[in-house]
Amino acid sequence: MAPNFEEAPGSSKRLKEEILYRFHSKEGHEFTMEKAAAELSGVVKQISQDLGIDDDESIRNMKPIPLINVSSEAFHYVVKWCEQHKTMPPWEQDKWWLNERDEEMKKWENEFLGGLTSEQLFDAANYMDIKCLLDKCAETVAGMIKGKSVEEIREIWELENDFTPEEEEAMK
Amino acid sequence: MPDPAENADELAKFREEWKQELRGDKKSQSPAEPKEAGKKGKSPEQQKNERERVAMADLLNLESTSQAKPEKSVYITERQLQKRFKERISAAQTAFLPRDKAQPCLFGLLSEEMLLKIVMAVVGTGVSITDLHSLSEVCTKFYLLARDNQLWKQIFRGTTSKETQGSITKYAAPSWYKLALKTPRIAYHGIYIGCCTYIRYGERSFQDTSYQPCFKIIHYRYLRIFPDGTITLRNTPDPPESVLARPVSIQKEALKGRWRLEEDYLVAEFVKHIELPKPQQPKGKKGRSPATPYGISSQVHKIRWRLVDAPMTRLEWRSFVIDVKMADGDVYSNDMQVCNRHGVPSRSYPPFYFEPIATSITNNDLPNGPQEM
Repeated sequence: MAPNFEEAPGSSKRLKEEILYRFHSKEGHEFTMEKAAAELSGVVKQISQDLGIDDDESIRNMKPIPLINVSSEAFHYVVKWCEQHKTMPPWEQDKWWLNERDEEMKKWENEFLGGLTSEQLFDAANYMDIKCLLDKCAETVAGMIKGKSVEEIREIWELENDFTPEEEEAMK
Repeated sequence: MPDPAENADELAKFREEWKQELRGDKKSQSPAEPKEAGKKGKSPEQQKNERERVAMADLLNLESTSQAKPEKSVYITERQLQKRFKERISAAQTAFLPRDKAQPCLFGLLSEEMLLKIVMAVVGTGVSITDLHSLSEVCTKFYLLARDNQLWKQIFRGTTSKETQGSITKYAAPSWYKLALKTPRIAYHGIYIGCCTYIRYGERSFQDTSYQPCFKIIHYRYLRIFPDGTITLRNTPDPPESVLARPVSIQKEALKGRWRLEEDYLVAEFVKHIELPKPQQPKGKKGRSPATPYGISSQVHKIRWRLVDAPMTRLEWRSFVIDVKMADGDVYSNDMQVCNRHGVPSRSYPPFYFEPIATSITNNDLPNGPQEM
């Protein structure tokens, strides 16, 4: 079932007092994101820098940023994620294990990703360059790989063995 | 003295004869004057050497060609494999071959950066090399990813000392994978096992004094290093088979400590707190002191192991000092003398060899979750 975009936190019908970034998804839906949340995305930061948007007023007056590679469904989850993480301290990219998260956030994250197997989210996170979401996605996938045998991994991800027998011999 | 021309003549004749002889001609050999031969010449000797060398080279050639051919088709080097895989991927235009052709694999949609992030997360703080190995055997793309330089830099950093890393980074852009294979490093994905044996003599039989049993006692030291800085050491007669199947079994009574790396040494400190027996006042017997007036309150085992050899690194004992702290505050230092005066480790302190355990088991028995490294 497609999520209801009208009631989602990213809906365009939000209070005007907040400082909101506006976006257009691939399908043309309009989304909004709170400033702190939107700035988790490296792409948003880059775009606003390029457009010379640096104060709250210019953010209010800006046109929606078109994100042609991000579907509405994926964006819905991206907004959810970002709104949840907007108060977090800056993400340490190289040492993600240092990024302390409290139990509640961990639980939220696991539930959030637990229901998702959508590659769109990966794509969106990647496209929008959201470090914490990317890391969490990678961590989740890694968790599905860890402790598995070669055959099991192929089974889960439906991958074909593309080695020749000769190469398999050579790898040992 | 014979004149030089005659000499040269004679020499040429000799050579000719010798060659004939070598060819297997049954012609009688004219006896060359030993004096002459000795004087002039090394030439027959040289020739002989030459011939032997050629023959040897032939033999070697023959061997090498006859052996190299079948070997070449079986043995493919790491570099060849990588090249082959890269070519195949660029030719196929998809890095991942899905089982169902209609539905592309998730990994196929992800960027290189994202894939690498996933592989790095698989390795994670636990530096689980076993997982990385099985991932690399899934398909060609993962094989290539599992040899990524950044990834191995991360692995290298997680398993070597600052000093070692410092001496390496002097060189520009090293291949971290190769470097990691050549550098003695610690590993977290298994157990270090040291097998100790000694002979104990039994009681002499009463009736038959010529009989005395000898017992060979075997016990094992199990050492586990955790990425969060914890280290555990357990001394037990349990054989490795059972311990590897259930690594948790040794954790309960193991000596726990902290570790760090210094150059190519693994330095560990185990603190063992000993609860003081409460001085019992025997009823009715006043003024009698307890049996142990000065109890031991704690023991600190300070051990240094040297990381030896790569890629299968073993730990050799270098020093073992026990600091005994008494209840009254005195500290005694006890050197266990694991090395003799020549620096050779004693036989009762054999080296630890590494044995990996299946990752499905490893993940469950970390004392704490991954923490700061």
